[in-house]
Amino acid sequence: MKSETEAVERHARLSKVFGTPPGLGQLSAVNHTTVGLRFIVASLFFFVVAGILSMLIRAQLATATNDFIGPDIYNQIFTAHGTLMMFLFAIPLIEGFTLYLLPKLLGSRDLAFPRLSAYGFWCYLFGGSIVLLAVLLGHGPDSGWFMYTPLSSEPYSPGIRSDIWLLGITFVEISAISIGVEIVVTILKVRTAGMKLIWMPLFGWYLLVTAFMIIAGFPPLILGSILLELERAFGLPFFDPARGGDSILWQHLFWLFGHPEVYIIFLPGAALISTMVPPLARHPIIGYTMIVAAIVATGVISFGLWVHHMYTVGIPHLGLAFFSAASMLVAVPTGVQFFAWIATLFAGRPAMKLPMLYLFGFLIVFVMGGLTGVMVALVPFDWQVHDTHFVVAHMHYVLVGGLVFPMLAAAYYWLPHVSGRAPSGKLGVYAFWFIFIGFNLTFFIMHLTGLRGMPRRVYTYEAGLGWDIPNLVSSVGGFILSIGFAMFLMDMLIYWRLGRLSPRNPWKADTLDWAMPIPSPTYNFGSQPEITGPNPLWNQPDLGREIAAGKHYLGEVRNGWRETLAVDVVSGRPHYIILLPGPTYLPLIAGLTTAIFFASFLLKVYWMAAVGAGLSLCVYLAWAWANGAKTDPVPVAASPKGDLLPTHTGLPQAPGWWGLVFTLVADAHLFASLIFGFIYLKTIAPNWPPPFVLEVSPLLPALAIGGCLVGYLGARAARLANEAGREGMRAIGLVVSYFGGFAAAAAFVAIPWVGLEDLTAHAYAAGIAALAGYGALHALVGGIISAFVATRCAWGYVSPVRSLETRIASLWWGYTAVAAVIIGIAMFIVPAVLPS
Amino acid sequence: MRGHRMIATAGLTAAAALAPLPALAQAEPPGLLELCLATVLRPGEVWQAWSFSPWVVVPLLVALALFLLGHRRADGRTAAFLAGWGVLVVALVSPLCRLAATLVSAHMAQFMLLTIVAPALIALARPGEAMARAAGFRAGSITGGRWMGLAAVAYGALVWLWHAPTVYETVLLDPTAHLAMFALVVVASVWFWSEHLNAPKRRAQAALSLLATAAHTGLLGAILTFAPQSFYPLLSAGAEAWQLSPLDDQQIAGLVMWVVGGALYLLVIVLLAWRILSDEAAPIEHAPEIAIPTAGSQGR
Repeated sequence: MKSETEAVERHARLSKVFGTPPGLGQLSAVNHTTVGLRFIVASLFFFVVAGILSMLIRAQLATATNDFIGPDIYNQIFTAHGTLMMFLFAIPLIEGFTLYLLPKLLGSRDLAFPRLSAYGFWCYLFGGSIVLLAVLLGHGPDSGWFMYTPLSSEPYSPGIRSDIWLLGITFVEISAISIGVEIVVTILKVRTAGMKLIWMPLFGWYLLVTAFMIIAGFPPLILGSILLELERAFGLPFFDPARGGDSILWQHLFWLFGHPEVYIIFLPGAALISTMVPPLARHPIIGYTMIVAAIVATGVISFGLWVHHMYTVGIPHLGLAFFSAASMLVAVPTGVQFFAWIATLFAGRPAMKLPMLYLFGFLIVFVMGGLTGVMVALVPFDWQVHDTHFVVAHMHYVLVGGLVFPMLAAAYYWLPHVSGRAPSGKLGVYAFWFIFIGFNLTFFIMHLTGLRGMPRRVYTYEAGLGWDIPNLVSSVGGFILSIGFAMFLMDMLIYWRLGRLSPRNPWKADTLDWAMPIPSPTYNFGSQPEITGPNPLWNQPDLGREIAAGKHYLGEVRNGWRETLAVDVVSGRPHYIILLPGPTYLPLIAGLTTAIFFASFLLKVYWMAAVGAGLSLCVYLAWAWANGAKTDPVPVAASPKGDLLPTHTGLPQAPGWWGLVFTLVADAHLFASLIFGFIYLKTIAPNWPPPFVLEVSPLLPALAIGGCLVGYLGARAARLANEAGREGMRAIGLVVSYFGGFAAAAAFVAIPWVGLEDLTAHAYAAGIAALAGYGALHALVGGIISAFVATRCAWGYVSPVRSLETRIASLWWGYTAVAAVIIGIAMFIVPAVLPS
Repeated sequence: MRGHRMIATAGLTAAAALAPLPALAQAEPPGLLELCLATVLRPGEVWQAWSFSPWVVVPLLVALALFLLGHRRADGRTAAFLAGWGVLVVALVSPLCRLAATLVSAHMAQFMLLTIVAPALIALARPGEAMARAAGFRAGSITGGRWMGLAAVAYGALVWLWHAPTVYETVLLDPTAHLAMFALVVVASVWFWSEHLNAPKRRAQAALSLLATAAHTGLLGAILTFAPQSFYPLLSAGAEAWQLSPLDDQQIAGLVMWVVGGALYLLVIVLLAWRILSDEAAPIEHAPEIAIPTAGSQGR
């Protein structure tokens, strides 16, 4: 009894520390449970909207020469359907599930950067709202969800429509990248004691690779969007063949993102499957290591296959043969995972519960999508069905099979976790059959529609082409499918409120997410467990009680701190204690100022956009200022056994360091895409060489590159001086790098300004301008960072122990210096040595 | 005694490589002792077209001898070195070498052997230690990883530099440039792979660095694949001798770098991931900060 009262008191104390104020204060929430659920709810809202749009599409196509909605509305609707489903439903839903589940599965109390995920949510919500609002007002984008140029370029899509897509989706992608960084750092550092990488739930491995793919895959699309927006807004011709651009470059940049995207969507679905299969089969997963290798292989292969979306654009035929073969390769790691799941199910005693039904739905639908995938990987077949409804059917089998069915299974599986209540099962079973039958009815016959030659994206068709009956069947099936989804949503709502109370751990699962009371408390774990094997709740049956009784790490509240363990990346040994931030409005304010920037740019009020960017910068700096401490961290008691761990503040290995590392990885991918684009245009686009060349005094590039090198050397000197305790030298180094940064930024801006007559005349000039802009921006940010760190030093936030900030300045400057040298090579050497 | 056996093996290997020499002397192929400079090798002449330039053969034999003298054991390292050395012989002595001066695509196959297969195998043998010992220096165990970033940059820069058209043609026309470039690339590649494969504490970093390398070399391959014009007109005649258009030849080259090269890097990345996991599963050797109970079979 005594221990139970104690557990209740601990619950009250922790809840107070980890809670969010009620009412308007909810807007300041940063807790991962809250933010994760917000992502899920918002993505479901967009799912419903996109679903309604798809019903309009099916209504229009149900009969021949239908005039239910005209071509203009139809174009907007199918574009919006694809865009919403891909960018505003699938990715955010994955992010929401991950934000909610990841800390609970890893045994931690929150993510590495709670405020960053809140910021990600607001960016997503505001960006998505811009797109949705435009669609509702009849100004939606209408060039298809992959926005091919030249259709989406200024002459063929005048007005605001394409801009809505480019700016709105870029806004949402900021969210995706910030969540990607969040996930990587959390998986690597923020786990519970003893959780070695090799013992991590497979969910962690899947999401680690997925997050890397987000970090590496989204930057090419962001770059493409920026370049196309620069072309549309200011006439810089990156994609205009008449002026040395190339519209195929857009396709390359888009599919550099788009092919990994397929796996960014599938891998989290597979992650959920791999988490649910062992408890439902009552058997540990078979082939853990093989699955991990398969996940990594899938991630890497997916970046090499983008060309297989472009078989018909005139790729050299030798290339087609290679990519056709390579496309088959990706079936191998996928097969490994499938066989591992099937083997686990065979080895165990599967419990035929509701989630299992949806799991079988996934197996069937996704395998069929995979089979048609192998078919379209064959070049001659692909030429036949390219841009027909066959591809539409294939894509829906893959995406609905790979993501939606696993998510439905997961919804039933984790519903008790979120609500504390259990579904009764009946309505869920009916919903499954409606969805399963409706889906196959809609999309199976659509293969035939496509084989009979019906192109996608046409708003109507003549009668008598053999398309009438299949289309009608698809439309009927589509409505059955919608009824199924409506039943599913109803089931969720009903049992959220009215279901019978669920016992703890209803599935007898092995993972730590079920080691807590349900619905989940805000702080997750009364004390952070020390685990001794890969299936903690099976290995340590008493773990739940021990956690609540505070027998493990960080069971006591002190100083009102939100504490969670950070561990050694590989071994899982406790490393330090992260002090998590509490509720704050900063993410919301930052989201709003970012929204001002994007909305003003959209409306072409550029001074206002500059104001928005400036305000955002101020908020970011205020955000960064709110961190840190003025005294060196001292080791504090971390467990009843008396282990001592330091707090993270200012430590060189703090999460912020890792965050910057992975942000720079994303940045490097954007930069690599820019370099690729420039070289691509130079060697492949028509109408080269340009009518003029860059003519500047060698002093300017010397100043630009030299300024960045000085910036780096200054920041590096400051870092070393700080570690040696020499404060004067530290200040000098930072001031030097500050001036180096501003000199370099000015020189970078001057290069195209002075050396080129007309940036809009040729892609060469536009490319030089883009490279110079990249360099200027990084030097400028570097200068601001140096000034910021110098101020922090003066205020006493930095010491030889709290060296994080000098290290961050040094890292940023190191990256900038390397980039500046590469920019110099690209500007002055590449055009001279590469033929055009 | 094992050392002698190894030297004997090496001698036999070298003899095997040189065995076709007398037979070829009668066929009078042009410049058997010369470097593989620009040439037009026709399909019928391939098997006569070996190249035994002393500038290449002598360094190869010296390297082999140094390694075997410094590492007198028949173990995995020796096997790795011999395999890597054999691949170098295939790339630099076998007809592939002359073919590489005829076709861009053959050059790229040779390039993959020179920059990926051979140096990766040789790096696994940790030749630096053995050669230093053979040369009379006391060599401790050399672990890589410290200069991983620099090695990756140097390696990447050389890959791009070689394929700049002016450099490419100079390497095929000028003997000094030819030798310098090949030597530079082989040394840089062995260094690159040593830094990446012999860094037990930085395997994850090595995997990331290899991923970046696969990405940028893939971009170079993509550019060669998609380019609408031939970059290396010097080799047009060679391509036509093989009934390829120069553009086809270049595209195959690009695809070899992009897809085959990418697959090779991928293979190493997956193996590294595997090693990271296997190391993890091994018992912890020193006392950890938290005592792990002996419940599982894996804890200690």
